[in-house]
Amino acid sequence: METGIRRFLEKLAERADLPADVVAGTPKVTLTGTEWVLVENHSGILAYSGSEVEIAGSARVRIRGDGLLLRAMDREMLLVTGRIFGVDLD
Amino acid sequence: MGIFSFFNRAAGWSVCKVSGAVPAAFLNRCAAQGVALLSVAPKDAFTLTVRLSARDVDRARRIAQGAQCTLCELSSGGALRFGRRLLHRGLAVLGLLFVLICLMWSKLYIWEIEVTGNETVSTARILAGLRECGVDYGSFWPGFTSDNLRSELLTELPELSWATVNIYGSRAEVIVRERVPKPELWQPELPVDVVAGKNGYVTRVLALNGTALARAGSAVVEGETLISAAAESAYAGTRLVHAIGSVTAQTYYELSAAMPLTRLEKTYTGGETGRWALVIGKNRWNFYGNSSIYGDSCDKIETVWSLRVGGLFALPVSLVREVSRAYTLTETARDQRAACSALEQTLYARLLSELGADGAVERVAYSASASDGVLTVCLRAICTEEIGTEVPMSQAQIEEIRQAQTEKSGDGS
Repeated sequence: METGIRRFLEKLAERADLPADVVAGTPKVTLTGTEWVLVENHSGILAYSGSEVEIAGSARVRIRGDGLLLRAMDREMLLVTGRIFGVDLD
Repeated sequence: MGIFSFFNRAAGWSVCKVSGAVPAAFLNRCAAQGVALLSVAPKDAFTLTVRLSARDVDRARRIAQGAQCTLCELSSGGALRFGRRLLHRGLAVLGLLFVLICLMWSKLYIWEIEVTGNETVSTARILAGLRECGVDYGSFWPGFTSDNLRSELLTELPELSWATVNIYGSRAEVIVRERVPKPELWQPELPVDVVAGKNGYVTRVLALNGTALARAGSAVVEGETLISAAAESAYAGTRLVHAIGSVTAQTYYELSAAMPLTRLEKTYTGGETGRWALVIGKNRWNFYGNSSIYGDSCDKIETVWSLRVGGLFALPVSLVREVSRAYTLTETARDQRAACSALEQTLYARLLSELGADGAVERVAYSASASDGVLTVCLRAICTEEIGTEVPMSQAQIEEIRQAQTEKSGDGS
């Protein structure tokens, strides 16, 4: 049910040309350089190790790297630092 | 993160270890309940360390229980936490307060005096003058006024033309300006002779005022009148004038200097001792006995650490470290040629300083001799220079000339 509403909001945002992260709360991933990833609108962490961080949300975000550190985390955003090899979206 | 890091440090922080089957669940719950997490580092699949605000530790502990995890506080810090911890130690608080009061109190006294701007008047003399005015180490400075100090100091030291005392905390900065000496005034009516300042053989006489007594080619001795102030006149008899002129002469110099042919050289034995002392105000406490281990045959190097903050604040407390390095003296022969050359240079410099700016060296010769372990170098030089110096006539001389003039005019009538 919740997924349906989110999909509807995403479509609405797309049609109305509004930012989806604001309207539908879809994750917003900001990669700065190769050592800094900021994920906003997350729904929590699924897995966490020094080489991989998996973040839940309407789209699952997987950060691969080396020496990954969850530098900061609160309700809205989380910040991962370390040597980042890639960010995968499912 | 710098500013956040600063606030976290100020507010207090804790580093906690979280262990459980799914530590990620703890992180998610914390995030959902508004507990901000910093520097989450995984140790293994079931353990991680997390840094969080000191005020969230209890909430995080409850959340950890709910997530089937255990939370263990590893370390904590921060200004607030430190302050809270300090409050439990009454003696420490009292000590801190005592130190603060001492610091505030000591700022009202002068513990350092810096003198600048003096060139010929020594710092010690200025400090002695200040002492007479009541400014000394340990003086209570709020009682001073800069105007009073200035006028008192200028009265004490007439060589100064201006002075000011600026006080920065416990440091007094004394800036002085020295009085410029009054220039000698030209007195055309004063009877002045030009006399020989040195023995010499006169080569040129140029008398602009007065009567030239010396002639080119004549030898003169020191003190002899070269241009007399008594100017003969065919109409007015003898007039007393301020003699002006230039007398150039050939002068002869013989200077000598000696140096021992051996010298004592230091050889450090490797023995070294260090000792400490504490200086509070003008009192010194030595943390050692009166005996000196190496006696006089040692170099003493003293390092002083003063309690001060930049150039603003100083306390009358200094820690002194005195290091003594022992040495033995061995007699070694000096290179005779080098010694001779050094003495020649010294003698030539001395000759130039005696000669003055208007003189010139015409011929110079050196001779050296060594006897009884001492090398003696002798300089002989022929120079050309101005030898005339102005000397005011004595009252007796003036009276004598005037009397002779009176008698002459009496005979004439």
